[in-house]
Amino acid sequence: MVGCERSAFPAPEPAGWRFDGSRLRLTGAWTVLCLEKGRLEQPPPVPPGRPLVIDGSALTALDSAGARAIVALRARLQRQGSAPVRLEGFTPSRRRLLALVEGVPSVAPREPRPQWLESLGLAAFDVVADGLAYLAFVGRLALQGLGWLRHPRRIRWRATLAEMQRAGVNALFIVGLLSFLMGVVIAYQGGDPLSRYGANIYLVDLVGLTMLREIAPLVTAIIMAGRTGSAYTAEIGAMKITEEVDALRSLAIRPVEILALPKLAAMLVVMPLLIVFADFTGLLGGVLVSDLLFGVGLRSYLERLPQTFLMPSSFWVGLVKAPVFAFIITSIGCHQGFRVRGGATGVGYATTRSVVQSIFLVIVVDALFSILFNRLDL
Amino acid sequence: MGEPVIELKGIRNRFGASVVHEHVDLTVYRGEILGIIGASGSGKTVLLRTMALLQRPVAGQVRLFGCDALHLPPEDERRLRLRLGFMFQNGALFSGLTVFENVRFPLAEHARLPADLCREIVMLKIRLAGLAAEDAGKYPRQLSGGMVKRAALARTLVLDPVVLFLDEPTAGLDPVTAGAFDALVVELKSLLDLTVVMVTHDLDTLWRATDRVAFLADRRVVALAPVGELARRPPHPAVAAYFAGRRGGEGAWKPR
Repeated sequence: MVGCERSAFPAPEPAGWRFDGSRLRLTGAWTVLCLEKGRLEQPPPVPPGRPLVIDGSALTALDSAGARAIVALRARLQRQGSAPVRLEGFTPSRRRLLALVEGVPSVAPREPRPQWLESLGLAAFDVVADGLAYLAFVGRLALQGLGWLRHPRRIRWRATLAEMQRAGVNALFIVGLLSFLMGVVIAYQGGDPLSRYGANIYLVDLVGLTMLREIAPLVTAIIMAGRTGSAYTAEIGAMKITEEVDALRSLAIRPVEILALPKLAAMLVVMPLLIVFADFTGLLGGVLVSDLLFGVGLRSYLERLPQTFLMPSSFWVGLVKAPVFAFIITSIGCHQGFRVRGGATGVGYATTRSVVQSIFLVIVVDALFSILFNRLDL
Repeated sequence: MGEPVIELKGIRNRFGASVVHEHVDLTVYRGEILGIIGASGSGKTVLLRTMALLQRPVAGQVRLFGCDALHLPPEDERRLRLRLGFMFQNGALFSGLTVFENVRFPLAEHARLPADLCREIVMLKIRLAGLAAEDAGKYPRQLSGGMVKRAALARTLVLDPVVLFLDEPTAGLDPVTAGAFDALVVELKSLLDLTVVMVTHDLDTLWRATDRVAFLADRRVVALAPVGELARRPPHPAVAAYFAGRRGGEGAWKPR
């Protein structure tokens, strides 16, 4: 066939009617895409009490939606005019179609929506239930982790290494870049007031302390929560809704052991390494700015910085947090993944919760660490 | 036979190195029910997806309603797709929506109907597909396998497609339900003037519902005839094995 380039599927004439006193002639295509809201909501002005005929002989097309519209129109005219309305000019197959669409179950589908008090209660209950389930999950994780420690042959090296690659190596660039920028910002913001007092040299302490103690671990943990924790939730959650998790259980393989433990092991290894890397790039950013703008060069850094590395050192204070953060991010990520119910929206919801909860907990724990170190005079 | 609705010419489908179809020619005529059968992995679903424009072939032509369907301007392609209904093997219901919302979704997107008519049409299709009115408010995860199929059929039918593609419509249904489903498809076909293409493994469905059957083997259509003819005089050894190897007999689970 030629001429397919343009208007291969021209829009048919929309559904309509002509009324001449006693006959309502339906025109156009009474099909689902050609029925128009405005047209259907204004039925023709039919004088009451007169028998009426709906004539379908001029219809160009009819489908079940159109048939339903005709049935509805007829019922409406009958009610309005209180006189019988006959259907004429319909082919046998169209008559069968009209018969088919008679009788629609009228039960309005109504999803029971909880009242506000009920939803408040449900939400509160959910928080508690989620917390308890998290504790149970941590318990299971610990038990099975102990199993690995007692029988090192059971450790899944291959999966663990793959997770290290995913969570660690692939995150190097973004962690390094953000930490570098944080170093730049700190040196920038701190350099100005310090230089006003001629205390430029303390930039080294400022950048070194904040970077090593707080910023590098925190930035790394937040990136990991957003990047890796969310991935864990989405991955396990998708497996949950496609019944892959159940498939593992039916094969007598513990899902936590095969899905969560390698991730935890990998994160415990990778997190400290990433923090050290973040320390390095952060300091690099700080050095760059202080050298260029405040005349404190690499030399001063190399002279003064080693003090911060001495015991009790900021370096170790920052690094001690690594396994804790790694545990929080991985356990929450996996836990939320295993808790996914429903479908695609369930995965999205769980992923949101996973990221929000792990970042929240990371910051809370970081604050607790600060208090603890303060008390210990570290 | 009516005019051709779907014409495949020289279709070639390939995934990586494995060629699924090679020079497949197949024509579907208006108003018929065509079954596609073949062994597992013979590319039945891929062929169905090719016809429904869900899978772009590496080579060959797909003509739908007489037009080269692979090279259409976007607006025409949209209108063309509205004439096609595809029922997926696992239903592919939107998990975040109830059955009612699933069925209403295409209607709300494409049609401009008064709200009450829209609701009536949705409930009508839900009833036609054999679901109870109470099921309309349920979410897909609350449905059994058979109900998912019915809900999927309702959603597929809601825009009154001209061509209906069914991927294993009766798989996983009990024989009674499957029989009712077949009858429903035949009935809807004649009432709504549908053309139906279905992939199936269900021999009962083949006998009850189809007008012609295309048999896929060796990457092409090796036989195309009414099912009775295929069973009586199999034109290809694979066809003979298919109809001889009824379950339980020799065939399906032969040790390799």
